[in-house]
Amino acid sequence: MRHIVLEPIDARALIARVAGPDAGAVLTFAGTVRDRHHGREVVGIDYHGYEPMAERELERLEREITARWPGLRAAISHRLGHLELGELSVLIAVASPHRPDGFDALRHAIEELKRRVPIWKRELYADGASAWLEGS
Amino acid sequence: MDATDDPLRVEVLFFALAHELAGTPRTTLELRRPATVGDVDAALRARYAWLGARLATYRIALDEEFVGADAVVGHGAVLAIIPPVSGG
Repeated sequence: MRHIVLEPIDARALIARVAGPDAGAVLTFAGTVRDRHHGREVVGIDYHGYEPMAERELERLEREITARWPGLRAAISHRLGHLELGELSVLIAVASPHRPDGFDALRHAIEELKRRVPIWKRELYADGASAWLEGS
Repeated sequence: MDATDDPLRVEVLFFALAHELAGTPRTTLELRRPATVGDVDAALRARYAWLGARLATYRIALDEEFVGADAVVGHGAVLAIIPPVSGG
């Protein structure tokens, strides 16, 4: 299963990967393209990644979550390329027997993704300028 | 196995702002054996003035894994200069 996609993220398919009769909760986090950043008007974002390493890191992150919260399943999909305002850049789905573990695991997944998965945003501004973001 | 007097060549990949500043997505370095990631770091600083101030916040990946400065680099290794990531 590829974690990095170039086409719009299929939320239904990602949720189906983790859902099951043993899970009483399926939680999702969606990152979307926002129209402002530090006071500048943003009109879109280009996402670039070190694709093979990003794949490995996302795969590893899913496995870490399963190891830390036994019985819980996680699936992560991150899109690269040009995204318009409001489009999904990342979707994380977590299926858990119980709700509290699910929230903890979901938070862990997005924070770790933002810390170490080699993907970068290039913000495109209304005035025609653009800038790479370092850190988030 | 490589003879010890053959040049040790590695490939270095640049991403995001590092790609923009380098003006290229990749370059090749020749190093003396034995070589570590720290030697790659030093060779890059010597070649790219802009990198010096930034490498403190950048990480280096060796064959798609984050590594420290003492990691050993072999012939044909692929290193990546990883600016602070901003995915999500």
